[in-house]
Amino acid sequence: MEFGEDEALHQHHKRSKSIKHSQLPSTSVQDSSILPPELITDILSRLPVKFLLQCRCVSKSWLSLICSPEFIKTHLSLAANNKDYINHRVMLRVSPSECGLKNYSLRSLLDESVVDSSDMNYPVENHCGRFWTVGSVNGLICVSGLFL
Amino acid sequence: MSSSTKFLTLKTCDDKKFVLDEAIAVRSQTIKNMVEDDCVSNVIPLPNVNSKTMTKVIEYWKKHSEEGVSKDVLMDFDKAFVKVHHSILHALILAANFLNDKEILDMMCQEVADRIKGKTPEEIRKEFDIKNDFTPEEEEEIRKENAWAFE
Repeated sequence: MEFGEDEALHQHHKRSKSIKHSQLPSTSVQDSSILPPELITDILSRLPVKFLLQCRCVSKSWLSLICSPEFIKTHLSLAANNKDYINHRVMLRVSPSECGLKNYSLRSLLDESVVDSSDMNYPVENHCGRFWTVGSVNGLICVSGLFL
Repeated sequence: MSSSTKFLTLKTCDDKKFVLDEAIAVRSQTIKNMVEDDCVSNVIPLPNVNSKTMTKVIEYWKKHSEEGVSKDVLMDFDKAFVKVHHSILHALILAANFLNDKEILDMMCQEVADRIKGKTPEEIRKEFDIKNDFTPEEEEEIRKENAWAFE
């Protein structure tokens, strides 16, 4: 699911207690090229959620950082306020006769000659019917409908 | 340049000296604070920055201080400026952080973020010099939680 991305991180935070998280980078070598945690935070907070989810595999300290509530808040606020809409996606049903929902990059709809789109992956994907959005919060969308 | 141009001497950690117009050097908030607080004597030591990195920073400062340079020219300059080996990128980030130059810091952090996209966790570890401290089982568990992100 591309929507509800920050929510995906949040849920991970709740479920990942079984893995021990270390607070600091595991390396203790004072290498001049090693970036301090606040700069790693600055860099990672610029990434779309899909890449952040991949970055959780890098190390325990990155996992702990990416899943922390502070980081999620910072990331959400940066992504939502980006003036170029690089993280915004528009959810559309192309025509009433088609069943599936598609999502489009808002940035590509506005500025680019090739529109970046993908099919949405959701539980009742292959069922046609009327549906509508009940509401949304932080990118998590609640859809309700009559599915045939 | 007016007759009142003041010059500052910056000394990097490898003992190289750079003489620079004060108006350009104060792009660094750290240096600006020192100048404003009047704690600049003859030489400003930059213990966290080496000469190779400082040369790049000064190249950027000078270009962005030139008069009559079009936006397009600056954009091309910036594009070329960030095309460096990741070790130089990291050194520039640390230098910009120490010098408190938000413009360079922002540009470099964005470049590193853009380079992370499309890299595997193993490639990212190599670039950031990070040891993988997960067991294969733990790593697999994290991958499974949001498998769509790895497709």
